[in-house]
Amino acid sequence: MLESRAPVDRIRRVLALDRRVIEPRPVDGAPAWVATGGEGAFAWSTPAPLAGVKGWLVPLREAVLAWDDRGTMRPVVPHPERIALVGLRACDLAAIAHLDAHFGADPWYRARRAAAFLVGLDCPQACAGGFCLEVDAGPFARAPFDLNLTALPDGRVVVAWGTAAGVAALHGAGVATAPVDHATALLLAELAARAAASFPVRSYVTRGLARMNAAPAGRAIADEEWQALGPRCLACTGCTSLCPTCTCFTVVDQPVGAGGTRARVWDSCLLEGFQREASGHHPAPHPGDRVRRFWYHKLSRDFAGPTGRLGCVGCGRCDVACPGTIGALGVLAALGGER
Amino acid sequence: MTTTTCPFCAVGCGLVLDVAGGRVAGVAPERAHPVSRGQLCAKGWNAAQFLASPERLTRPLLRRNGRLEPVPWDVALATAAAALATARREGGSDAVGVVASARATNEDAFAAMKFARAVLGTNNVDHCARVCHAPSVAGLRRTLGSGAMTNPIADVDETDCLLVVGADVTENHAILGARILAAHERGVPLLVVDPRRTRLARAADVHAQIRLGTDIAFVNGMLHAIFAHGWEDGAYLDARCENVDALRSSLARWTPDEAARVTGVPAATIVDAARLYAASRRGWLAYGLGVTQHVSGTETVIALSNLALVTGNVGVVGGGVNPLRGQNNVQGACDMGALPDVYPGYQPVDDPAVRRRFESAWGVALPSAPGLTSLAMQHAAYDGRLKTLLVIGEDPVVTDPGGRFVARALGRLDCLIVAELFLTETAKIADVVFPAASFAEKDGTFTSTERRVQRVRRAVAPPGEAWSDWEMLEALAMRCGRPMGLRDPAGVFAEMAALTPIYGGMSHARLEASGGLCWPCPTATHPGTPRLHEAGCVRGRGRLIPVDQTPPAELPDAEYPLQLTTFRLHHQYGSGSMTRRAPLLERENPRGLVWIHASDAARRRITTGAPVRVRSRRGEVTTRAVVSDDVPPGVVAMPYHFAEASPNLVTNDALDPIARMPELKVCAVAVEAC
Repeated sequence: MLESRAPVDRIRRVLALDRRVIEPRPVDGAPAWVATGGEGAFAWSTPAPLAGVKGWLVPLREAVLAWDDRGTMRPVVPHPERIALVGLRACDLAAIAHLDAHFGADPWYRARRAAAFLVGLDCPQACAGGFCLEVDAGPFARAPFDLNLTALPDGRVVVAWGTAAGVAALHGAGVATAPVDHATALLLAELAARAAASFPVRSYVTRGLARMNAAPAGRAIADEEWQALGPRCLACTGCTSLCPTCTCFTVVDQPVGAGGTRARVWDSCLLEGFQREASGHHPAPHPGDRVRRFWYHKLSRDFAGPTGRLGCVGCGRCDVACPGTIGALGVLAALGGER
Repeated sequence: MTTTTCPFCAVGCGLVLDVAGGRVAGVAPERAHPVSRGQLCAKGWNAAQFLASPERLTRPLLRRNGRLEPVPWDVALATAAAALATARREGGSDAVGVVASARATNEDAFAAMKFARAVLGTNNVDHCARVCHAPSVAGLRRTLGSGAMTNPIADVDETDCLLVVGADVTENHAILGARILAAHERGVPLLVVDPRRTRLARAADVHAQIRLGTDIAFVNGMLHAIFAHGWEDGAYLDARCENVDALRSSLARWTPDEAARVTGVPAATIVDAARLYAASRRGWLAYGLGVTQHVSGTETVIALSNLALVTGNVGVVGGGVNPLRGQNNVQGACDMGALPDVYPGYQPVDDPAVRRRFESAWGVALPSAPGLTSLAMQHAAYDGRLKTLLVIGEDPVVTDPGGRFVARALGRLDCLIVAELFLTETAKIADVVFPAASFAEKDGTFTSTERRVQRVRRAVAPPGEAWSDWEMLEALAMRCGRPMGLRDPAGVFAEMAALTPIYGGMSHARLEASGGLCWPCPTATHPGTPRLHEAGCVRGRGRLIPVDQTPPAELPDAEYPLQLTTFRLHHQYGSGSMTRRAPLLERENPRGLVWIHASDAARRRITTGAPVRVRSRRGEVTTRAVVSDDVPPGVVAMPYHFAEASPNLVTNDALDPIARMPELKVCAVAVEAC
């Protein structure tokens, strides 16, 4: 526990000595992840940016191998810069747990992930459109963070460490932490309860999730319901681009002269071309089929991550980005009988 | 992090470019943008992909011994300037011309317009509005006094009825189309007039699936029903319109039964549409290229204007006559006077007072007669009257009608100069090619379809030796011995604003805020004008002009029994020079490129994916078929993004007599398995 918020700024400045410190800051009227160099005071109340941090761990486009004019192939090994993502909300941390499990030993992911220091920041209340509580991803963070911060109303900060690197960072900054006493533990529990109580009651979310997870697995909801949602998907790729747990990529070869590079590029399962086979056959030929698959992967326990949590972390970004109003809450509203 | 404006369609969404290591590493929507509100379509989400393509042009090219070879800028500029000088010496000022770009910035378009008039001394300047909304500019100027979208996109949320004519909004203006779908879901009636069953048509309360090119008959049928039932807004007509009796009497023959006979839509549907639109307190009418790309394009625009005026829907919240412009800055390129008959702000070149103002500002004598349109320039090139042409960021070989005529005509030029991002089909036949900077590599402004002028900001440096168009034009002007004095984008904008009353109160500094300003904005304190004609029409009274149905220039017959129409796909844009370099967008291309109804397909033994030949009197194209009920029997439809199967090898170049718009939306074809 820290007696004030000031030591957090010292931690940020020390992290900035050998890392690029990236934090949410308002840019042109909306929060964005910005390289701040740890300068200035920490933005405790800046909401989670619409574009998350996935791009630092899984770039939009990343070279994986190259070949030269003699036909020699070699892997392109990333040498990512060391970064610190400071102010990650519980939803984004839950999503990183998914990425960790999905990519496993993937060397490109491992390299970027190892170069990233993660500092969490607990949400004292529900954000607009967020429903992390209903999918067990927040509003208070769990692993995988190096450090996690909980701001107390009296100005003190509870700091938790999740890794040895986190402990080392505290030591490096010369920050002395006091143990959390009983009264503070009670206060923390009360804050967590208050945060949970701040979420609007959305019974359709509970009903929708129950229907998604009823037997028989994946087929409890009539096909007609999905086909009715299909025309609302314009295949813009907004949901999959912003979804912090979406990991699908395609492979693109870019010849340059006699050589070239192979890159992986974010893909989207809502695109018709995602699963179209060379013969022209398509296992998910209708937009409604693709909408069903996407939400099955996000909202069914069949695709729960290693911690037992759903593929949806309740961040609400897809509801902002979807022109067709079938983001997560939009779909749960349809499944839960609200629209 | 650079906040800018999306370079694709004319909705004008806010885009944030994430820059890392000198390259655009990602794209995000601008959360706080007043129009797009944190959303993008597939093109916008993929806006970063084409920027770093190794196919980008990075050095000027010059044709030597039949091949395009890299040369220094000096050499390319000197060659281009010499070709322009030779052409002017031998054929006069009108032996040269400029085709400006609807994709580049206002500053670039202004520079192209000024270069044509002040440096080359010709009004031969035009751009692709000729093949999209020239009839809107011509038609709405006659009826209302201003040829632009009257009401803002946000009025979709303020209306009681949505009427969409000849526009595939969810695919071509996706963020606007989605807003229409959302309004419809809230219970606002949606009427769609379209020969194709578009996504909106399938959702609509009324889909009038008219025969190709019968829009005027349909609208006149609606007007007949409106007057017959007394659904017109009499008080509005008395107070704000003129020529009411002439219109009313001209409609006598257009009974719903007669309109039904011509359009193929049941009379009851026509009356239903009239009732829904006219009985709603406010109706938001939008239309697209299905209206304009006809020999009767301007008259169809006038018919829609009649409909909106008769129901009191012009100059009111939630109403309007709203042409949906196609490209990111086609509105701006028109505003900048990249048209053969007007200076910036639609000030006529043949008005002596206007011309004197520009002559004194620029210190040169300016030509008084309107110049040639882009298609007329092609014909002049074919006839040998036009000798050197500068084409900026357009690919007419793919996008313009008339078979292989365009390439043949441009091939006859003494010198074709092209400024481009990529070696397009048009650039491939050029003599000089200048490498151009993209939207992410320069500062400036775009003007969206709702007249919203927004900042475009440089996020990264252009690749290699690529330049902004205005820089290239200034350098070329110096080589021609007549420097234009353009120094930087803010300065170009300031010069333009001082000469253009509708932009008079704008500056780059004032446009810094998200969402910019809508013109007219005449003074530095004016808040802009999201909605036109609120205090009466720009021209005074709204003019009702009787128009009659004109059939398409080419109708089906025994030899060419089907009708071909053209359309656009959500995942492609224009000739595809940008979108086809985005791997996900390119992969999304359908397997076939001609849509055909099952009944027509069965008769020809055609199945989805089967190779087919599409023939017309002007040429033929081979592609694959998509058997679909998106099109009715008797109609086939092709998107025009793909040079390898371009419908423009078969489309008709018959022209609208007023706007000189070619009839890209309908011609007669034969289709057979091959």
